[in-house]
Amino acid sequence: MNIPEPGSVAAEYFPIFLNGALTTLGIVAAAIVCATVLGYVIATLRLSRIRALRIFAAAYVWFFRGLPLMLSLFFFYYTKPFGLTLDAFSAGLIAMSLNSASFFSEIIRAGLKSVNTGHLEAADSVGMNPLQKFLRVTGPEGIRLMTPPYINNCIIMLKESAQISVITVPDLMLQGQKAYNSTYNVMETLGVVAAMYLAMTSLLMALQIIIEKKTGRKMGTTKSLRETVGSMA
Amino acid sequence: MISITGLTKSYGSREVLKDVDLRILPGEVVAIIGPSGAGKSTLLRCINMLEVPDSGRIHVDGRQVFYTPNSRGKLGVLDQFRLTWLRREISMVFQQFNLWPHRTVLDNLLEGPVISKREKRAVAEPRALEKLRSVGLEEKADAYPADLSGGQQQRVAICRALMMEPKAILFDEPTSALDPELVNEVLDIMAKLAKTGMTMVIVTHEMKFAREVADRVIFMEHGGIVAEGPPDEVFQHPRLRVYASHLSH
Ligand SMILES: Nc1ncnc2c1ncn2[C@@H]1O[C@H](COP(=O)(O)OP(=O)(O)O)[C@@H](O)[C@H]1O
Ligand SMILES: [Mg+2]
Repeated sequence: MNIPEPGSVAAEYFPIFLNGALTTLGIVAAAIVCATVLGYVIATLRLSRIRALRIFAAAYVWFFRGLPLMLSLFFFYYTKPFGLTLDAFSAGLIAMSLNSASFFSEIIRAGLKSVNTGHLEAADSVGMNPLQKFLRVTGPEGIRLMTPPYINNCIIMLKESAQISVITVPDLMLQGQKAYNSTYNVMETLGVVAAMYLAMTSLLMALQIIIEKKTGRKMGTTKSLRETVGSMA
Repeated sequence: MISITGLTKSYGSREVLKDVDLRILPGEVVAIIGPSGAGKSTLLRCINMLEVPDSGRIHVDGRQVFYTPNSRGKLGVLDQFRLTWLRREISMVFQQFNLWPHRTVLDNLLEGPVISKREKRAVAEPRALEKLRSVGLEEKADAYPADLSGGQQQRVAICRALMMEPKAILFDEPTSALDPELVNEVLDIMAKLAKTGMTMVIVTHEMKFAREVADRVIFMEHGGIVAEGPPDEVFQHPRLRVYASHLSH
């Protein structure tokens, strides 16, 4: 076995790494969408007036927040749950979505609760319907508060997605492992893989800064003003 | 314009409104006064269904308001869709202004006509600037609410209410959250508005304003109307004199 030239592994395996990175990006993006939708549903259930729904939602959060992602991955891939045989990608997607929904639901719940009642009543008072209120007030005000923890959670999802390599999803981590298994150049392969993970997480961090810039301006002072003005009589 | 009969409302076992009857004529300026906890805000908020009564009939401009409270005593989602007409006819000005902090002053004014009434922005915008000019705030059109004083915010909030071209405006203690030196700039605007023939229902602790501007004063205590009539008459009522003497101390 020849010792490869420095840089040659990176060059030879780059297309494979890129493929792995795209798989990682794809499954994480899909999981973020699913987990956000599910998390929103769980959050509204938790804020529901019906006790049974609140309890169900709280139990969901308790369950998935308290379990290792790896355990869910194994469950959906190896046990053929409910008679379903899932391919690795689907099993990974389901496990990640269910797991992350528990975190997203808490973030969304906090965001929804923080929306100022007075601002919603103002929307009522100009005749907005509930849908318009959501799009024009709840959304913009909630997003501002939700963005930092939300993106943070997305970054965690991206990093933890490396665990899906264990159930043979051909993600960036798995391609990295394959590359150093056949080349024995651990340092260089891991270095390239690390750079690619960092590139993806940096993208998310940049997105956070952009969103905060777009939604954050001018809002801080109003909140402190509200507090000094005092509560509604 | 607004007619209310047999309005009742409770929070739990606490009766906040006890069989209230009230009629507001077109163009009338009515001041509702009374001690804190009397039910003034609740009565006002029942008119545009920010609170939902337990029973009683409400007509606005001849049209009956049908409602069913949900378990929180608020309007259910379907009723919110059904009753947008009511909110478009009756505007509201809040004690805390409640401007949307993420929108500029101009956008705060345009939100109602453009989003709720589906007016063209190009049509509504000149109207909005005109309204701002009339309260002396035209140069603040592109500012955010946080950059304005309380008095300026409340003037913007009045413009926002006017942008709906409402049949009546409800004011819930519009000057109570303001520093004393800013109260008059808001009251002046309201007095001017009263002269234009706008129908106004104003909950206030400003006795002088109620006396000078209102056509009719309503004095509330313990969820009921104790006295009502022309200001000079109502201000002679013994219960009100007890209340007013508390205020001035
Ligand atoms: N959302 C609510 N839940 C429970 N009690 C309330 C609520 N809103 C108002 N109340 C009670 O109803 C009574 C009347 O309140 P309100 O109409 O605000 O009085 P006012 O505006 O005259 O000061 C008060 O005793 C108040 O504590
Ligand atoms: Mg009040």
